[in-house]
Amino acid sequence: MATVDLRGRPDPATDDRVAQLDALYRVEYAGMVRLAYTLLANNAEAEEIVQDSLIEVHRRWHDIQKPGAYLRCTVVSRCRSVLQRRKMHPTHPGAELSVSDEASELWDVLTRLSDDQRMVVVLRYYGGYPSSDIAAMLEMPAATVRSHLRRGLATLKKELEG
Amino acid sequence: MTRLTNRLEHDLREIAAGAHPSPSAWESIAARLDEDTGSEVSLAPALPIDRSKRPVWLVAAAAALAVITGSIAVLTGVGDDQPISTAGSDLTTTFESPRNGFSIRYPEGAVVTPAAQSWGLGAQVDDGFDVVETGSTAVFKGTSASEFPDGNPCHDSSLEEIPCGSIDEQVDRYLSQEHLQFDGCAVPRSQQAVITIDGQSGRVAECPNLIEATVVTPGRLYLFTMSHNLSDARAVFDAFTATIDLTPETAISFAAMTTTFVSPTYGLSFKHFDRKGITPAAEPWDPATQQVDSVVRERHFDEVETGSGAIFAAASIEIPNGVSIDAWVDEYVGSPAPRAADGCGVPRSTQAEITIDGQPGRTVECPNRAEATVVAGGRLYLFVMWHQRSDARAWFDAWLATIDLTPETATVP
Repeated sequence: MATVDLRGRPDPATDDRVAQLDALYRVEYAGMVRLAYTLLANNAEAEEIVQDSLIEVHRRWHDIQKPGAYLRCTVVSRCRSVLQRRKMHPTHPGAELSVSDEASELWDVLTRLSDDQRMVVVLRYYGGYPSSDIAAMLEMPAATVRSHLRRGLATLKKELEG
Repeated sequence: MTRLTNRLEHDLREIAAGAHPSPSAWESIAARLDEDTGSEVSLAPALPIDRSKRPVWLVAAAAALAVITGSIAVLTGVGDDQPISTAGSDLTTTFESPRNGFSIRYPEGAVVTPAAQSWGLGAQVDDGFDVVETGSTAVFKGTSASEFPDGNPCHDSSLEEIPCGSIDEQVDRYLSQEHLQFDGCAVPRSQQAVITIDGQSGRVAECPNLIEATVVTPGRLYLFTMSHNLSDARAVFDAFTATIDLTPETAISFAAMTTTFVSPTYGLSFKHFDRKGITPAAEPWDPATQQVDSVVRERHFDEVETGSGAIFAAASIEIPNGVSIDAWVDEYVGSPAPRAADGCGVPRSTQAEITIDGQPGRTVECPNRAEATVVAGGRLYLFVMWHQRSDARAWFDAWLATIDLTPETATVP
């Protein structure tokens, strides 16, 4: 149980979980926001997702063995949900992107991929994660990850290199 | 492919550079931690989150998100003190697979255990098998996979698109998928013998202690196998397969919902397929001010992101005294008038009847959405599914069938 101050609130200085979360935040926050942004192209959503995920990590701190991996998994899962919401609720906030024509072209093709293909491609070529890590993050077999990657790359090649 | 992947890495880095992580984000997080941990220490939160019901990380990491499949097994080899005859004339009891789109007859006295999950989606591959134990030394299995062939382009190992080839080649590729863990006879389907199952032409292969057969019907691949220690195995296998009726129209192409979620606020519980997509409501639902299409976005409902083209959402509210349920629902809960033309704006009194946890209710469908309302214990319950699935009705009904209404446990008006 956390130490509490005189007002009954936890004292961050003595709350081990908070201190460790602070350390995780310092290491992972910016990178996770960028990863989420690369999937969503919406800074506010990306920040909200990563902050919510850190809160989730804090709640489950004693149940998880690898907080960094858990954080990545949670961020990716929440990004996937946002992509799904966008499809089902056209009024949901969408992408806001200001990049070169070439990157914009890539983004347009990425948005036409299935959510799973898009996430696998971004996690592989932006995140640099191997198939096994992506499989854990997306909760799918590594073979399925490779299948999504093959199909996603085939579409990208066709659309971008025609 | 190197040029493409180089471009991908370059352009994705450029996109990522557009993110602006707030330098003061920790202050916001710390404030929320204060609230969160403070509640844990001394205060009951206004909308408590039932953490014990939240998903456990990585428990289902092996679950496949690939094409949904289903399967059956007939076990004839466990506890064979009193072997049960598997002669064709003794296969008199019919088992209808609850998930996999076929039925089969088995001998009286055999023990049948229906599949708990679709093939490839459970923690164990065998979770997807219906099992019939007859007491002789053989295990009969069947499986079926939806969306076969799936119509997507095919690729070789170097990612080049290739012709998908014949059905035989596609079956071989499908069964070789790692997550299916299928250890068959390793005979190319095109070289296997012909077999007929329920009038459909298929292929069959035999190898030591194993027989396997595959049949393709429009949109579905069936696989039946029998591992055995029998001298007359082929006769037993043929006797079983002769009783099979293929009913792909009855197959369920989505995963079984096995994880229970207990709403911390709305007086209900339901089951879902655990993909970590459960989110309890953050704020109470107020139908007088919130339209149905906004409640999920604004997190007024308990919500399940299925990860498979559908969102389930549930909420409840006390019914004001003296109102007509149908009129009140039509005025405050039903879809707003502009969408009446798409089918969800119909008066509740004319909607289809449905039973949810023993209570009579109403249900309506419109493009990409299904809704159901039911009254229990003075509360109106609303269940909504937004979707992009052709089998949405079956999925919605499967979800509704898992719901328990417990109005006495609701913690919001």
